[in-house]
Amino acid sequence: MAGCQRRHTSSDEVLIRSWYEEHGAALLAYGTRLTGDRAAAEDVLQETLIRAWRHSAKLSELDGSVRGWLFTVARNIITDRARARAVRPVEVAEREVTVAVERDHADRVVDSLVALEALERLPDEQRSVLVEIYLRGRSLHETADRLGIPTGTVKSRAHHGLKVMRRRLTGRATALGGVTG
Amino acid sequence: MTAPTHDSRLLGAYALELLDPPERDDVEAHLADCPECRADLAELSAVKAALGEVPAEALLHGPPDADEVLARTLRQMRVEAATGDRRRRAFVLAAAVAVLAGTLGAGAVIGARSVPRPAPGSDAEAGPPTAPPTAPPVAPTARTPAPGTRVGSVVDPVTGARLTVSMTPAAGWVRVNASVTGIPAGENCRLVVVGRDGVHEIAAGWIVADRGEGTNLDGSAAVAPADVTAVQVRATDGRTYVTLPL
Repeated sequence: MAGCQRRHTSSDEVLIRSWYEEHGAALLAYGTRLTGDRAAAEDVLQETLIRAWRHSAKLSELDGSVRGWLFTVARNIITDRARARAVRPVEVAEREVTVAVERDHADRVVDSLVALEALERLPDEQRSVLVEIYLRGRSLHETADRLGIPTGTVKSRAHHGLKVMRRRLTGRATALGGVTG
Repeated sequence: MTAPTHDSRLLGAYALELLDPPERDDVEAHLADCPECRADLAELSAVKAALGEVPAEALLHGPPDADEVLARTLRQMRVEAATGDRRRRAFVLAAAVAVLAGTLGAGAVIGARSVPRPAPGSDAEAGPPTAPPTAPPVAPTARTPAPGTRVGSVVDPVTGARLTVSMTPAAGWVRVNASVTGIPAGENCRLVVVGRDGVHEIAAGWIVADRGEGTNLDGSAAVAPADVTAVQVRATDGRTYVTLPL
């Protein structure tokens, strides 16, 4: 039984390490921005990875991106903590950024994370164009140069990328439900 | 009248402000006369707005500089696992495969990525089979892969390069996770998905680091899952380092 136990533990570690190595930088940066506090963001990263591990059965069946799920969980943890602080009568003055984050995100979580997921599920060629153009703010010509494709191709891929995302966003608003645990 | 023939192919590019002035004028002239395209544009603009909600951090890939967080997380996991529900663990294997199969297409976001393995000495107590890419983590869990996932590993007898692949089907295309070792430092490589009719799609690209620890990367290719015959690593000058038939 000892050998069996050891093997299970290793697969758990493989899982957590793989999430950490792929998503850790993004989650830590995201948490640091939302909380304004690197140490708090590290706690959020740890808690996010633990929750992902606890829900690994669900994650394995997720018809979508693990990254979207992880971001959702991280954001929920941050929001919950901000709320917990807010209801305490005596507390160190709340950071403005935290309050702003909570209010700002309460209405938009679904949009942003569903959008993230829809973006990640795009074919490479469409996603890279949208990322360069819209998220990195590059010009048409810069994007064409970086990706090594003609400007006309950039335009058509951008168009088709948006269309595919529209299809995915329609009716997917609740696809990431149930990730508060 | 200036309205050109009904052609909605540029509406997305219009919404993203990618058109040059003559194209833009044409589209606007057409929009004035076409309620259908106006509705289309409104929807695409909403998608664009949603895209603007994607957190900028989502563009980052790779491990953070926070190995102590990983160590803490693993300790917490072990404590919970020691007392936790054993039935849950069977599913962890499946989840591990899904993750390793490259569920995110991370390479796609930045074109390609090359993630160094963990720094030597970081959390050295663990030693699971992830550390060297030569011991591919996909192999032990291959019995519970995501549906349709294909895995394989091969060493080229001439070049000595090893390629381990986990390929997951998507709707008309494939996600690929690959571990590659045994290629000289500095080589500019492409991960190529070969289709049945001889098509070659580049799934990822990277330059081999000089630390000799191999590369693990994710990519995707617009080849129908059923049509994939092989995955290859090639140099940019066309030489093939290793081919894995699938």
